[in-house]
Amino acid sequence: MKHLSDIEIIDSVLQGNANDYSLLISRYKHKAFSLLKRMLKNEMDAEEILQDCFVKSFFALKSFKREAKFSTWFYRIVYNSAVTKISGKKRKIEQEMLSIDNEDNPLTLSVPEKEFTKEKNELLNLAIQELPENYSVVITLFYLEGMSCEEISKIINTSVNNVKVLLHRSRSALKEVISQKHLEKELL
Amino acid sequence: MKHLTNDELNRLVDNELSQQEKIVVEQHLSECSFCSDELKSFKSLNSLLLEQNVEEAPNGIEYLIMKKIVRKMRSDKSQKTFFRFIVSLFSLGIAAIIGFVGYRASKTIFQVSVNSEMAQWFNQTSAQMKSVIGLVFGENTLRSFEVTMLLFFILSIYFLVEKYNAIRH
Repeated sequence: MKHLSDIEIIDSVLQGNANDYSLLISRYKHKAFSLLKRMLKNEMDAEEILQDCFVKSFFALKSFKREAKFSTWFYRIVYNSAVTKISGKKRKIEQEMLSIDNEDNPLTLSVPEKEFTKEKNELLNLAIQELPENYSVVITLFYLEGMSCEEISKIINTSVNNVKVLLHRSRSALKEVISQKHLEKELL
Repeated sequence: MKHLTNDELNRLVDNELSQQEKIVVEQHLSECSFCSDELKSFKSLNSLLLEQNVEEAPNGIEYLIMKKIVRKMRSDKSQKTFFRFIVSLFSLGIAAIIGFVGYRASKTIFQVSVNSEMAQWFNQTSAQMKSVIGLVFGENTLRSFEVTMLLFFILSIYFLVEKYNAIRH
């Protein structure tokens, strides 16, 4: 079967073949899910937002300008949706904290020790989830999606230099998390 | 001895140091085992990140997304239909008012301002026909019939324009 480009699929969807959109979903679902899971640090939230992002992008396809790649445009939707979700979650938790002072903070997403017996990739994912979301998003887009700093700068709406700085800081922070969890032997 | 910063080490990993900076950093690395180890850690972290696997999205997510899309398309369509129904109803009201006002006004204008023979003949004939029909059906029924016909005329023009636009899009 001929491998259709993103633009060809979009054209087909816009011509009325809505089912072709599932090709785009299968192309981006895993990577977008990885990004969301790392940013939101919760699988259920990641799945919910992933569905919303695909639905949102389907109905916004008409407004997609072909100056940028579809992936950049789509990841921008994913990133913005995740940021909105995170800020909503933080607000909710702050409100809860105001009413219950002495309860454990649910945002403390420390990884349980027993989970560190899982394989290398799993350990790395858990370590990345410990990072602040602006670090994990840069790490994921750069390494997992193989995006350039220019593309990332368009997605997170910042300068290229800032992306480079964020990348360096996130790598240092990840190294710090790994050493805090005593995972150097397993990972580095 | 001052150790290399994380930034310098990261820039070395990414090959972002200038030639001059590189010489200084490499000189330091040859003398400092701590920084060499740190660099090694950054390099293995970099390779680890490059080798990492994508996390798989839950099974059947395409089906759920497509289902949501279809549901939203249907609800958008029914919203649009409802909106068109409301607009049609509103237009019907407006058309009724215009029709009634137009009917009253045209009647007055014909009676007062037209003096040609043709118009007089037309007025006389239509008045005779009206009186005959009026005798059979009653004056009020006739007036209601006239208003309704005018209303239908305006409505058909409206729906024709609507249909034309729908076909064009």
